[in-house]
Amino acid sequence: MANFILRKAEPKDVSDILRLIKELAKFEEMEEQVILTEKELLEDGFGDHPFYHCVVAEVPEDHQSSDGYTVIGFAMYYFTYDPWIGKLLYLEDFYVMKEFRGSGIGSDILKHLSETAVKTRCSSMHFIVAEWNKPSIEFYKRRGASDLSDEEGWRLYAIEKDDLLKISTKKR
Amino acid sequence: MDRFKLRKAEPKDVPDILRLIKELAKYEEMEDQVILTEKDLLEDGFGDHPFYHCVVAEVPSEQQSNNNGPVVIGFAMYYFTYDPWIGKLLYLEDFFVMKEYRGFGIGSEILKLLSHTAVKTRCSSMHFIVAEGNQASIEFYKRRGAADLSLEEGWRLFKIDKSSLLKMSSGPEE
Repeated sequence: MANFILRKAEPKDVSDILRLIKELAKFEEMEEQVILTEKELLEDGFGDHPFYHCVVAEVPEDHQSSDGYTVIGFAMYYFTYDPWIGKLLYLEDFYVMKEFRGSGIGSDILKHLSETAVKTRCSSMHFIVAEWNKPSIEFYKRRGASDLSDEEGWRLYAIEKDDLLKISTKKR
Repeated sequence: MDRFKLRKAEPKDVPDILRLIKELAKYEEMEDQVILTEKDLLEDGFGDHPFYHCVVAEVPSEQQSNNNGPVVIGFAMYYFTYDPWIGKLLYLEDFFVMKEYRGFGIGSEILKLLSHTAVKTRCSSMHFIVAEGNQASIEFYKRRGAADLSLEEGWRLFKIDKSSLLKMSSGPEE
């Protein structure tokens, strides 16, 4: 079974994108952390200034998933900027529904993203992977990925909204 | 020294931005790795679709002995990223104040401006990476509420470089 197409996401895909985001979050046991809505995905992805881009994998109606869906995989990405080399493609989310794995859909999505990166003159593709996620780490390493946290000691930090508010309103 | 000004970067600031990028890279002993040019910075930051945003810190001319106008002595480069669970984030990419201008609260003011920008543009969080050996920066950020997501959630940063991207994009079907 390898009958699928990859295409740029359209506004009509927003409910499928949210569904797949939640499915991936469920896999990470974090489903209730997804507070993003279809309305936000629509505004943020398909307005004048898109904050993200998506490709979706779609199967024909007669090959739909057991729960009746034809959009069965997606990747969400955006462009970032390295002050030493310029534009980068950042892969944010990447997921294929379980029953459709093993058919090369994931590989094809990554190939499509690689083409996009080269075409838009990006020097590199960056992404984060959880250190315990061995299958994903292997998937990426087979394709030439290197662990910058390991090689260069980078650690990801966050300052959350309540602290941002504190900082922005603090008197000198 | 308490007279400095923070403002949005303009096209004319591109040479100063590149100078400060190289100074920060030199501090990390990586100056030869900066292959970005002023032309790239101009197109990428001030075209129809900016790929980055910058704030610069400048001091008045009379505090510089050999210049006529105000001088740019610090900067922060940032852009917007997207978390599929919560939406927009502000990503802090580069942040540097020239050595002789540190200790006056310029860095704190820059971070305050960025925090304000993040809140105003409805970002849920500000993200950035710090090298694990950089204790001074880690403390600076932790004092302001930063949490180490690599530690708490086990995230590691990966990259696939251009040569591997080319291989993948032109390779045979799997």
